[in-house]
Amino acid sequence: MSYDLIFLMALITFFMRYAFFMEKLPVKLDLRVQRFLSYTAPCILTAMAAPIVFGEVTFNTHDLANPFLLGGILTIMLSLLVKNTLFVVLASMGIFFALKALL
Amino acid sequence: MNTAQTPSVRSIKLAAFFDILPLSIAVIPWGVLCGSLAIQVGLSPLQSQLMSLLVFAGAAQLSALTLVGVGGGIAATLGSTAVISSRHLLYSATFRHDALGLPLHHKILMAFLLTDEMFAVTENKRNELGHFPLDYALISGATFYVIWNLSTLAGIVAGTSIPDLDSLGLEFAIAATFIAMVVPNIKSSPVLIAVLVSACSAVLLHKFDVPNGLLLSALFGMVVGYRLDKETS
Repeated sequence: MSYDLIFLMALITFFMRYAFFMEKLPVKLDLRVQRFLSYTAPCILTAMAAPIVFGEVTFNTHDLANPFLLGGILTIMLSLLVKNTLFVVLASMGIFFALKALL
Repeated sequence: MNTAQTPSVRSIKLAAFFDILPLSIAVIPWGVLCGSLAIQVGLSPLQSQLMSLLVFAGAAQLSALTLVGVGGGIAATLGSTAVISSRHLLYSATFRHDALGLPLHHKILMAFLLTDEMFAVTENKRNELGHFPLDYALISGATFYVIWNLSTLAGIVAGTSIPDLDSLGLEFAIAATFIAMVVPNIKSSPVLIAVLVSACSAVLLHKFDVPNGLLLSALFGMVVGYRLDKETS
């Protein structure tokens, strides 16, 4: 791999992150687009988390020993009960590693 | 450090650090993998570190290194970088309104640090505060940058792939953090349905190994949510 290739990759990733910060961009994000974009965070974060939790689901007894599935469901339940994000993350990670060691 | 800072300013900086910490820890194995894989496919130590310093995009780096390993061409490498990074266009669009008013150096710095993880915590904080927190965005992004680069360095120094790194289950921290951020923000049925659509399609596309399934499933959810939103309002 050459240095040029690394610089080109850096340019591409930077452009994707900077594109909409350009004032001259001939795109106007009206209220409808802004409303559409307000769904970005919940949808993309869910799309990243769901395969980690449910990706190995087999719909048989193996699921009862799957720490990702059990831990994920517990995290969802905890998030409904407790408002403190950091607490939920730390508690569910503790539960996950305990499950992983036990199962 | 400005001593005239109010406690809330200081606490938002601390919050930025602590909010991104679980995500930074979860990404360490991938950083180590990136560093060691780079050495294995023949990059020099300097090139390997430069990749993390300049490109700073885990999935794009890992796929580029895999392509180099199998003798893939320049076009394939750049193409995969573009496709994998394309979801960042959505993040950039989401923050456009807040970024336009910033000075150029802040815009550049923000864009450079705009990863999935930085977007996740900053968007969450923005919703909580009701305005865009620049300090929070930069500190969480920079924290993530430092940890990503240190873990790459660890991989470069180790040189060979460290066995069982991916069996540690650290990616669960990513899932747990994102769940803990999304669930409390589900306050309407369009959001709930959007999230369910994204979750189901993400799992299905993952099972069938569909390329760019992450972006597709997020877009499915966004379109469904937006359409329901329009109907109810």
